[in-house]
Amino acid sequence: MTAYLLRRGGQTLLTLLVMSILVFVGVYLVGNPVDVMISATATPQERAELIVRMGLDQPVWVQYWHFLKGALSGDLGNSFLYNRPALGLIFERMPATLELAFSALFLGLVFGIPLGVIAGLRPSKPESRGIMAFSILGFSLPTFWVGLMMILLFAVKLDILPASGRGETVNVLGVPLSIFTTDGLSHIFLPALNLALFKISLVIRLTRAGVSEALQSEYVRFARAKGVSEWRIVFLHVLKNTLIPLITVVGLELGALIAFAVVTETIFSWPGMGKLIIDAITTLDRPVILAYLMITVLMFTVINLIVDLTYTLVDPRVKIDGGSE
Amino acid sequence: MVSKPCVAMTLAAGLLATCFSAPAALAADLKIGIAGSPTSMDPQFYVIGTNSAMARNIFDGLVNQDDRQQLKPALATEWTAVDDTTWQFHLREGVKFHDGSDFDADDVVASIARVKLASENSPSSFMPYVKGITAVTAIDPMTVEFKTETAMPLLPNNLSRIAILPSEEGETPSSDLNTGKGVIGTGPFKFVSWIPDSTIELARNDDYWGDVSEWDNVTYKVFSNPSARVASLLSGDVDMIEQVPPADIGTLENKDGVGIVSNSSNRVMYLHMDQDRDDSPFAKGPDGQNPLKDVRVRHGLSLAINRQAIIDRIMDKQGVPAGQLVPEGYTGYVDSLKPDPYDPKKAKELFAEAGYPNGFDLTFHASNDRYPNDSLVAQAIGQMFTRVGINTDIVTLPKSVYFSRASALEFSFIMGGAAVETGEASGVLGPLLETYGDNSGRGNRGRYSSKAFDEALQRGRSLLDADARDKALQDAMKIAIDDMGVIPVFFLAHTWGLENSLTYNGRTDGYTLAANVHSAK
Repeated sequence: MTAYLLRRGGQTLLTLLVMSILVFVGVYLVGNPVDVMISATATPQERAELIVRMGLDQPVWVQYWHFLKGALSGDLGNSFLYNRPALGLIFERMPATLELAFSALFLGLVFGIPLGVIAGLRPSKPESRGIMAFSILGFSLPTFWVGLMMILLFAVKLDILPASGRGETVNVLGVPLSIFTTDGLSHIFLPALNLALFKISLVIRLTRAGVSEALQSEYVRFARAKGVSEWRIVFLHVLKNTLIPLITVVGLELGALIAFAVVTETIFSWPGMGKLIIDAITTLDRPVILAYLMITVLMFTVINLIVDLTYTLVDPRVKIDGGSE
Repeated sequence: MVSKPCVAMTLAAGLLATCFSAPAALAADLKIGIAGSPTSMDPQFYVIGTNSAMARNIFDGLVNQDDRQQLKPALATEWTAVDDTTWQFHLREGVKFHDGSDFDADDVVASIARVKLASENSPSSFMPYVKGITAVTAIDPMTVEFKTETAMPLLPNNLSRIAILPSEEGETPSSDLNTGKGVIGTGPFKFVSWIPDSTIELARNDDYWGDVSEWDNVTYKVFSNPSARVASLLSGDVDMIEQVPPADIGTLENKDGVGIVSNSSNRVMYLHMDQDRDDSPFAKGPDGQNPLKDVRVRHGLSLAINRQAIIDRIMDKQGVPAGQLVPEGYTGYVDSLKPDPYDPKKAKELFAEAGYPNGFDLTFHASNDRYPNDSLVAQAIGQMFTRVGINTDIVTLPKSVYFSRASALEFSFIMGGAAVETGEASGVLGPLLETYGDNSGRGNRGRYSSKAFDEALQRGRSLLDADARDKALQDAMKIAIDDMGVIPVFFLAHTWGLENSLTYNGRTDGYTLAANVHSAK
């Protein structure tokens, strides 16, 4: 187990290194941040001074070396626009995004699994057809449009939920969270549902496929022949076997929820990390872009590791020490 | 009906207060939806609209800019040019900072000195505005003297951009003030809290030296998505929004309970043409030569643009056709310069005269995420050019790529927008049209160059007499437009959406200032 974790850690570091080189070169090629940020009235001296101050006069590999040295000591540079450490800026906004992503994931599982089971057990019933039709809509309607429609319906027409922003927060272990206040819950509901819509549809489809496949299997037929109750068959044998693919996909989707909640965050003015990265990209705020992508990569690798470890809990056949790969 | 239960409760003295104060508190809170978040609460850190607009709520300059960006006394009540290189500013008596300390000349000296400190790490600093000041001295507690290198008639305009902080913060770097901690000004509102990209809370400064605002508390909320901004106004989450997207103006106008305020802005959309290279990469006549060097071609292009149609169809009437680079009322505005009419026939004649009876090849580059509807405007202009026989291609790029490449002269024909932040013409004529050099014409991406223009502009910059300066800048403007150094297309409009219970006098700089929002009488 330790050897396995060490090996995974090494792979993560390598991924981070490769990623940082790719991002660095990519961002370097896009353009010069000075041209985007400086005012038209600045003189060449001011421009030149700014370029030197930002270290942009150095060749790209020297700049990268400085970045790498800083990164190893936990300093990913100062944001050009905010004049504050890029990591600090991201961590400041992280609770809001994590809260939104986990709420959406929660909604995705809570609605997705039961609906998927229903659709899988009785595929030809009208309610199952309804569920599948819903999942098609959930897949195909663009997030931003659904978000705007939700605002229009719940905030403008019915006037029962706030249109945007994050509600009142309370500090839980020093982290400001809004899901523990009613005001906060009323604010998070729409964006979380908006973000969850796609996940619900995905979970429904995966669960349904898993359930209908498991129903055909030998062990289910055997259990039926043995006279095991239908309830026990569905919830113990069938569901457990559909969980494996579900965990893989949900793990990856969680990463995507966190890293790319940007559309929902923009529409609902949710003060999360997504808005930060978009602003950073349009203004070429390199340190923020780099730090954000580093954190995203790290997050994905950690989630993948957790997913792999979870397999062993759900499926005793999976062993982690070497052999089972 | 409402007052009855209150009277019944007179015995409970504590509750009585609640009965009366609750409605009052509701009425005096203002929520404003803005389009972009400030990046720092340090008013001297970064020259960008979002930061400057927020700073105007909390800080004053020696001189402030009014709605039309003309100067008005603020922390200084009057100012005089003693000689060519000396200015004296007489300060307002009895002004207090938000922490209760008195404002005096030392604060001014320290604030001007701090600009240099705050410019460290700034992506675009305030140094250009204090450049040329050699010494700032407090003659007495209520008089400050500025010494300048050369004659600087624009010193008051420049100083209107510099926020005054207490002298105790003269040594405070912007990394400390950034988050809003210790932000103390003299402005109409005090800083309360700031969550970046989300909300800014302000409270009224009851000791303000000017008109005390009617709002107890002001909350600015950031909605970068235009539709979300409109939705939050419609749902009552905010009382007022800025930058209403053109497509939603009709919706808001037709809706009960909300209205629109709109006015011309100080930002002119213009077209820059390569007037330097004989062989330009994206403008080629049949002979391979650069047709844009011919003044007749440039005039022809201007006549080929139907400005009113662009404003009516693409900008939803939110704009004013431009025949020069500053709006009416600004120093340097020329009454006689009218926007070119739409005259495709004349345009073709001019092209023929210049030796291009069959037009030429042109690729028009524009940004697609910098100005409202910029890519649509570019497409419309491109089609108008095609109609007069110019074989036009349109390429639009995101601003992160576009501006770097435009500065590197990779294009031949581009669109830009320039805002006149100082309220007078040299602030736009200089960067866009002055002969390109180490210290001049930095935004001159067309490399227009005219001796007569440069001389007139230089005169306009150095004359202390206001009328003479206006005249010189007008001369410069006339020369530039006669040569068609750039083609002015239209002035963008600023548009606010607000509840009918409120009034707002629009501003040319587009700032949304809580102190200028009033409840309708």
